[in-house]
Amino acid sequence: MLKVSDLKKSYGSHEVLKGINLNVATGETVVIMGPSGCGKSTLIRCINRLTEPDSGKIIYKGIEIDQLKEKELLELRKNMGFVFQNFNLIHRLTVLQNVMLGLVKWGWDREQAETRALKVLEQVELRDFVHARPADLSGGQMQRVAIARALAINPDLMLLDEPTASLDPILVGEVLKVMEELTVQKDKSLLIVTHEVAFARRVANRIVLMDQGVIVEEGSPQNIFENPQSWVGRRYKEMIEYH
Amino acid sequence: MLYLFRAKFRKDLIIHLLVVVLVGSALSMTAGYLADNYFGKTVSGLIGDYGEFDLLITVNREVRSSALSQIRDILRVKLPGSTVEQGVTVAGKTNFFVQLDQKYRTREYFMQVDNYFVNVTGLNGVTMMAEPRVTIRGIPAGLVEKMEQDMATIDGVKFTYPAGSTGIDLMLNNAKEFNHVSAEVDKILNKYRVLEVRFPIDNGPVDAVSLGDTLAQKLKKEYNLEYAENLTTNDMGDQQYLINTMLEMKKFLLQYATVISIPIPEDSEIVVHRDDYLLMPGPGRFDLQVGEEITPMDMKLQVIEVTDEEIKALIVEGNVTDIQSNEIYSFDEDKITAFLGTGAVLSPREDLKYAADELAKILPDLDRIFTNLYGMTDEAITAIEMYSDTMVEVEDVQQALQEGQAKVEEVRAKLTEVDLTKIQDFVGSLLSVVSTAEEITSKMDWAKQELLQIDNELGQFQGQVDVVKNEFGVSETYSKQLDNAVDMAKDLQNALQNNTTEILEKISGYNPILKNIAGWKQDLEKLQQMVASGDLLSEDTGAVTEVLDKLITGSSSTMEYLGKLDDEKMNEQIHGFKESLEKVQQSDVSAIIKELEYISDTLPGLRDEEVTRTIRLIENYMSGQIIPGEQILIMVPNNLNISKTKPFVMEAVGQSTISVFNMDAGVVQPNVRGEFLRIISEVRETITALVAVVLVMLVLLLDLTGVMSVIKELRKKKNGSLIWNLINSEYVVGILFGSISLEIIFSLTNGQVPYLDNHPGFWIGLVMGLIIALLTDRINPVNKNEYMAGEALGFNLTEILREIVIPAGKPGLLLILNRRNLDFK
Repeated sequence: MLKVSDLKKSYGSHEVLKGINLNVATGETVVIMGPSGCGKSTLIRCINRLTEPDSGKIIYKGIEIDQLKEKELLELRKNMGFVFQNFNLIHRLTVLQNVMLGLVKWGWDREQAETRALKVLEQVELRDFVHARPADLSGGQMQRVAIARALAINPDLMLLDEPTASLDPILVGEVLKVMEELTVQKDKSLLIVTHEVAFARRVANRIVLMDQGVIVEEGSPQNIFENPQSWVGRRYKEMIEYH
Repeated sequence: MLYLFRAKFRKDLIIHLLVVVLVGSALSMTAGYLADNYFGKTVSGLIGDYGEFDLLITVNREVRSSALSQIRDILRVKLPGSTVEQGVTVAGKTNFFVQLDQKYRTREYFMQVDNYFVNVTGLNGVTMMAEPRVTIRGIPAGLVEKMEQDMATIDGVKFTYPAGSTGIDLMLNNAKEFNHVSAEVDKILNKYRVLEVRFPIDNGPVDAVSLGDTLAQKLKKEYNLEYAENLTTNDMGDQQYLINTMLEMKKFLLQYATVISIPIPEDSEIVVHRDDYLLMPGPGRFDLQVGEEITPMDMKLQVIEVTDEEIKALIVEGNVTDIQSNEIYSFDEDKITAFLGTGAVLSPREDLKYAADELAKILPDLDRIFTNLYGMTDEAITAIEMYSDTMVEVEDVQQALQEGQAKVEEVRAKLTEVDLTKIQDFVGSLLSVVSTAEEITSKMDWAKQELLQIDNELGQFQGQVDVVKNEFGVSETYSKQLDNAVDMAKDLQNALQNNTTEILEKISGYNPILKNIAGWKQDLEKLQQMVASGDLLSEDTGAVTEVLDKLITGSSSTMEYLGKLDDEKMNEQIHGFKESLEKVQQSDVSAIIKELEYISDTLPGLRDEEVTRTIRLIENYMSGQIIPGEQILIMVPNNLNISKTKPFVMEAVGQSTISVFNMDAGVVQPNVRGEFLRIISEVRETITALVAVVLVMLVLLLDLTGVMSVIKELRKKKNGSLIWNLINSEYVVGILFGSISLEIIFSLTNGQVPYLDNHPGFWIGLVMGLIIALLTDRINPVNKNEYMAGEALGFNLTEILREIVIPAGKPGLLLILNRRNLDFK
């Protein structure tokens, strides 16, 4: 479904991505892990060109994303759900409106959009909060709204950029639960950036470890955490053993 | 920037720009209108609206009602169709604005229209205020006609008319022609120069006009001039009048200034120069000592003249009435340095006031004295008549006495044969006559005292009159009135003196008679007593004889004195005196008193320091002036270097003491009223501009900063070239919006900013837009998370701006306009 080849990105003289090659199959859940600053978030943002890559190929369902013009790119984004670390909700809108906004903009009938929005909010267990404003919600609830907003369009590919990183540890569970439920849906591919090792072990079909802008190791959770080949993998193994 | 043009949001921006321009223009114009209305109403009350009225008639406030009805009558009869409006009253003057009917706005009417109102009650002046008008002044009188002909042909000039002897007014077709016509007038004026030759005040030519003709011909020939026209006339210029008036004023003030004269002893070593300052003790200052500090109370003098004998000085600080003593000192900065001597104070102004006041006090008493004197003459006449009657009786008595004398002779021989009853009757009647004579002489004595007193007062009166007359010799205004008073007073004095002298002499003649009669009366009383008691018979004859002898002797001397009095002549003289008094009383003493009080009140109410200061001011002014004597004016072409012609002119007029000046042929006078209205108009334009600037700044701050912040983010995201970055920068957005919107608003509302003539809206908008673009992040930062959410949802720039950025931004016009685009309001 998604093929990334030799993807590079620099900020000034700092090379953040140094030729990333990555494949994601349909229905596959790929978890990207690695130390902070290794380029995980940049990679996931480059995939839908929220961050413009310097070079490399991004092919999604046979479409070369890196070659798309702006209008085509916007169309493409409608089929990719993106969940941000900081939720990125529109604060002036209610929970329901936040979820509906994309649908309405994409031409959905207002009633249909509302029905769909209510459905996904049900799915993330926020049906009772449809008229609340983001400011009235907890971090976990806000992130669930963000997930609902991404889910609303029923995307083939969901990109989740450290969705629990900004959350109080107590609230992390409710988000992980929702995310775990998503992985069950086999029609969707998920590319998740996270530090949640246990979650990764549970839900990932494949784990990709990154360090200093390159993929240092990838494989099944079992291989990565039991027989790590990279320094990063070993650190994760130690962490699991410690816990 | 190009992002915005590529996106649909350009439509929003264009609508926003149009709304900003329309709303901004409307608000700016409203503010300008309100300002214009406020100032305009105030100003139009004072000077009328521009071009609305043609004449300003100013009258005294007290008579404004009657003046208004008279003006209305004049307009109805002579200028039908014209209207008048009453303006404000300022400083006791009421303004009336007259709008002439269109048919009277012609050269012929404008030349004479002010004459129609000369008889309006309380008129202060008639001023032409027709607009639009260009006013030219300072044209030499001989050039006015030619200039008017030239200027009448200028495009945009409706008609011209001469204003006074040295001015021309040009009425224009419309106000827009003002600058063009002014420029054309300047061109005409600049074609000519006027060469002015000034002669010394006491050394002018006999015939300046013909000398001017000669000089013009010589100049034309010498300098090969296209023309040289003699403009000299025999009229005296305004400056000449002014200088002459100031000279007279200085002379007048010098007559009234207090002069302090300080004699210089022969062996004095004191050195005093003209203009040095000296000091006299002022109020509360006594016994000044050398070395003592001077105080503000001390009086300062300034030396005006120093001779070998004396120093003369004027008071420059203080007044003659402040002088405590006549000691004069020199001083240095703040200390007294030497005692110079005792000065003499000559203050004609104070002396005159004193004399006039004293005279005015005496005159009412004089009137009373005249009345008493007049009554007394009646009594004197009565007394004279009584005297005549008494004389008859006295003659009878004298005869009886002469008879009695014989009988007394007999008594002396034969006392017992005297008929005592007869003697008793005779003595009784004689005593009665003597008492009457005594009474008359007493009255005459009172009259003598009164007349002496009057004579004394008249003498004083005469002296003061003389003082006043002498002092007023300097003033033509007062002297005529005072001369009348003096003449009347002198006539009165002469009349009284001539008559009283003789009368007083006559009355004095009564004194011996009175004494004589008193002695005679005493003797008679003694005789009467002797007769009544019978002692006449019992006493020895020696004592009786003695009494009788004295009676006889007294009778003779009394008769002798009485005989000397010429009662008829005296009666005639007293009647003459009475007639004189009647004539004197016909003098209008009240009128004389009023004149004197007027003179006293109208003496210059100036302190000496003010008088001296005024004299100094006049001297300073005069010293900076060339006192104008005769003048010759020659019109020459502009290219003649007049300053270099002086030697030639000196030779041509045969005089080296002349001055040669280079004068304009006239100047376009600032139209004060027009200027005032222009300033008001500028105030309106500036207020309009300021409101527009504030509005555009608010729009930039509230509306555009959000958009500019997005542009900035987009620019930073793309690694474009410098030019690409520049074109797509937020600066271009700010500059373009600020300059275009403000320039359009300025154009629509005629907003102007002082000192910025060339497209001020464009430049101010440009600067504002640039500054706000530089600060856009700080003023209205875009919420990057929300923005990125929009991007992730596949929103284009327009959708992001409409749904996310603008609703989250500051409340402004764009927010209101954007509401129609929102899916979730």
